[in-house]
Amino acid sequence: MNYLPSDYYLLLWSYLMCYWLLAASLNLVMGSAGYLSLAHGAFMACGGYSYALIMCNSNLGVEVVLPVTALLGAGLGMALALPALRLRGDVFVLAGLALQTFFHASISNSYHPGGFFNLGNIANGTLGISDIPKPVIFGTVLNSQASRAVLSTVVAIFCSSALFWLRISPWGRSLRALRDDEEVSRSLGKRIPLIKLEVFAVSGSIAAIAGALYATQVGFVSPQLASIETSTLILMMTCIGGLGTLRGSFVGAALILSFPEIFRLIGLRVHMVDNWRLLLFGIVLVVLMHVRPRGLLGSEEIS
Amino acid sequence: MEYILAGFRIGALVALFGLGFQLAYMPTRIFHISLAGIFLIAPYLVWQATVLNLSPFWACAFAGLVVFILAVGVGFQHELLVKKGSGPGVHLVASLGLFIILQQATALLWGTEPHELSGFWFDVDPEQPFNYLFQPRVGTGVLALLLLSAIYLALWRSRLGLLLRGLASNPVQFEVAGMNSMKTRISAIVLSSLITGFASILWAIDLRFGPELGMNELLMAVVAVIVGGRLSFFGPLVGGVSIGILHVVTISQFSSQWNEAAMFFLLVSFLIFRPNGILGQIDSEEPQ
Repeated sequence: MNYLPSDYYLLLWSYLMCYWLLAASLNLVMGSAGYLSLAHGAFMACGGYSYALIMCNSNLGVEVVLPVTALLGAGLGMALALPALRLRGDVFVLAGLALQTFFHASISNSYHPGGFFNLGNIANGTLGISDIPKPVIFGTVLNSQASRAVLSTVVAIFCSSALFWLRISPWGRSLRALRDDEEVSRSLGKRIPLIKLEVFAVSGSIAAIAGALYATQVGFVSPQLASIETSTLILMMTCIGGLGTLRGSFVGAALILSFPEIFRLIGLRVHMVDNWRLLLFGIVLVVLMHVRPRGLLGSEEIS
Repeated sequence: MEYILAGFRIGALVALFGLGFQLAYMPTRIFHISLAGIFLIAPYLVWQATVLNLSPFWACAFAGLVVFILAVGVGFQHELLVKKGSGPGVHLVASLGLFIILQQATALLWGTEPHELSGFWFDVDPEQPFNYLFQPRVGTGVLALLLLSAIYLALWRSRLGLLLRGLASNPVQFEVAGMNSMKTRISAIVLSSLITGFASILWAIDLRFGPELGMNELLMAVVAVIVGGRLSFFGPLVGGVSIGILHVVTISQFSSQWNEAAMFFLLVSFLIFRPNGILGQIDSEEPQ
């Protein structure tokens, strides 16, 4: 007798793990450091694309590829940290959007012989990269959906434990002090630029790992990953679940991912499900900002 | 010449939308992302009115009325958050929520297939000399410039313009003087939405539009505001001209696919090296 849930539910579970990590990585920047970012779609795409390119061109296992994607994500995160050294608030949101737009344009630019700095030749333009090989870990190919779901779960638990430990460490306290009053933190001898670089690097690397996990599940990546819609979705998960807690990120991701299934059960037409879901979450977002701006399980308010 | 005309049209329309954005931003100091939703819904309303056999003028009036009602709702929503003492981040996320509501409602009401406004421009005789001057892309740019001039004139000559400038310049003194800041902020949001709606209708003439309209155009307007100077009412005009020139240079030298990237590269350069923009002023609301 087969006690495992169907492949579809295992895939949903794997998505939940990916989006939990994405929401948790944004939560670190928003909840702990106080920077509202709309660039996490770019970090996710960075992870997904780097995983796809390495897997399509080598026989490396995920035990090597995931740390490499994390490093690349950290690099992109540090690029976002540069404007954060000078900017805050709504202007910083724009800087994040600019980074994301530049990344999106770079990977979606299609092939033009002799064209100016063209990544389309590498990233396959708007078509994206399909048929990504199945993940391999220590020489074993993860062919079944169950094995890939276990991989996502183990990586998500490992990363979220690291985030939890970081949050309660002295570094996490410095981060919250930086959010509450940058000048006071500086007067206490904290190296503010370094802390900012570190927090964006950690957030970028976790989001890139989530993007790589997403690519292992779907076997396909496209520039859509780096779109503003993806970043908005991650922001919605973080805000609805709540800032400053890992369980808030989990609840936010679970709520947003479970609603299409509920709508399907109700019997809404498939092509409208996405619109209804987003409409509902738009309403929830507005209502939450009025009645509970820190989110369902949050401990911090959006600064 | 094609590139220059395209750059002129984009520059003028971005300047108009940027001024709409600026009118709401300066008195409230909030990035109203919901304006992207207004930008999206206005051409759909005009399209719906033309389907009901209304003339272009009455179709625009109908769209203006609906946008006015929506804007009053957005304004009261903003004031509720102000009363609760919410921070700018909360305002921004709520505004994002409003945009998502408007975007999805549009997709549900009118579908995801592209629409176009027909009968909004007269036919141009291809044999006529200088016929390109009468094409919609030039005409909409000229209309946008005329409207910009009218708004600037009103901003400097009318009482509402004076109130808006006063609130934008020093909100604390404005309230101490006994002025009704809530009413002025709501007026600013309504005026900003009406300008946004009109810019959007001009934008949609001669183009097919779908539910993806709005956010990219808002970002262009915001870039114009930042580049021109986010604390000056003339900032969007200067920023719009800059974006128009950048558009021409990018298309002629590289490719239209690099338009957005070039624009955001310009934005990041300004944010890092000259955050107050070309007509930069120091924000009296921010600590020095």
